[in-house]
Amino acid sequence: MKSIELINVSKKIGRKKILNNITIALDKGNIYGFFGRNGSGKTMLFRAICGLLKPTSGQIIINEKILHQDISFPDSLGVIIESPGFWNYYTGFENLKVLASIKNQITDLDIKQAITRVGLDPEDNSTYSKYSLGMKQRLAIAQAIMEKPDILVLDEPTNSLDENGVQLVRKILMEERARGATILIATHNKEDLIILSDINYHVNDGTVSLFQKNL
Amino acid sequence: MREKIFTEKDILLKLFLSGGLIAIFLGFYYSQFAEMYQFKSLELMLILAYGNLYIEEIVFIVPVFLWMVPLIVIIFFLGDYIHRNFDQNAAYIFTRTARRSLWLIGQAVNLFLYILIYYIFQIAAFCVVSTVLGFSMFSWDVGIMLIVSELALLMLSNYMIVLLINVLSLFKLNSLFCVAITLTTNIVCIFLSAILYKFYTKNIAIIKWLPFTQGILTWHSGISSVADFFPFNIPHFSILFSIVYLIIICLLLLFCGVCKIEKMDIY
Repeated sequence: MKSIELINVSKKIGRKKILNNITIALDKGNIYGFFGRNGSGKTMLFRAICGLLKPTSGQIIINEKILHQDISFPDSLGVIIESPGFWNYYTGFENLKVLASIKNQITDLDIKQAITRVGLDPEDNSTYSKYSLGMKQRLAIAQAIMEKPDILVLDEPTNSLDENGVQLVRKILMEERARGATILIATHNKEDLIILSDINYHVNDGTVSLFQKNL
Repeated sequence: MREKIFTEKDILLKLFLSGGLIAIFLGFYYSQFAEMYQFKSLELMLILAYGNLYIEEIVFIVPVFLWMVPLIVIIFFLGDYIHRNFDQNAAYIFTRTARRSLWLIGQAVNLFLYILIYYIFQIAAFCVVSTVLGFSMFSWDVGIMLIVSELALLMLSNYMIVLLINVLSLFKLNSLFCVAITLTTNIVCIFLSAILYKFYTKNIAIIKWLPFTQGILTWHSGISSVADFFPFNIPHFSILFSIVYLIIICLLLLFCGVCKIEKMDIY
């Protein structure tokens, strides 16, 4: 079953075409890896899939609903895009509680479980401003998975993590795939792609192509 | 969600500290002026510090600068408030809700509350400093009325300016550029008032329609007897007119912001 479909998606910002006629179809319950050099369009592609960027032309279909027509953003989505943005003066738990209160679908216990799952202490009273880079990244992963979304869009999910953190995130992503989530990862870490992804795409100058060679 | 986000302790602390320091500075500075009037009234002090700009002195930089000091501080701390929060949290928030306009309205309410707290604290601190310096309220009725009028005009006029900067920054303009545009327009309007006063006295009523002049209490007509110390005022320029004018402008700005944020790309 198709979870995400992009049909001839293009996006122009000013005179620059940042996404160029992209057509891909992503099945439910797989991990898709996207790699390419900096500025190739990976993050913009992810933003478009998340509904944060409206394509200049083409269609994005999420679970048979057309983005920006039937829905404004995917109904069930977890996201990490670029640097994690949380409120500095809240603890990790409070940050996730504020975000969870928007949809109001999960309980405090679910939030705490997500925090524990990424190796942080939900009872930690340190504010986010005191967190190390690795802790910030772990919290970002916790916010992405806490609502058990159908789609996970993760830009550089293992950034700033130590070896244990990387192993833990890989394990979490495997579990999420087993749960049935469709996972999109953009990364420069080839090991992540080799271990995690079922199918890889190469992003270059706003175009996307299936990558069939060995990484 | 707004209630929780409003408790940004670092912003409150900065506003309290800067507000207190400004109140002390203005208290000492204007106490010398008030003594020239040989009238040690707290009402007079309040008008001098927060509600007056001598129109004939606008050509000099210092009075205009002093009048703008409290505003400059707010702009410094809150000028990029919405833009900063948007950049930081947009990806997490707007992948959970489509109600972008509600988020923007919440941010605008937060801004309003911050500015309200800043001025209430600053005017309270100013009253304390003035009392310590030997000034007292001559008439509580007049004094309270003045404080309320001044607070309303200051609040709304400064809120309008901060909101304008914040809304402009949603149009992908650099925050510093937005501050520069807004302050320049503010200063141009003030100077234009002085030019109208000096060369086009017949058209002086136009001043009340110029944006940014509504925050100056003594330019209004029909205010209390203490204001007799300030002979210049614009006929039919009531405080109610200014309040309605400023509220309408603020609502229009918010409407522009809502229209923009609903359609804008987040990247």
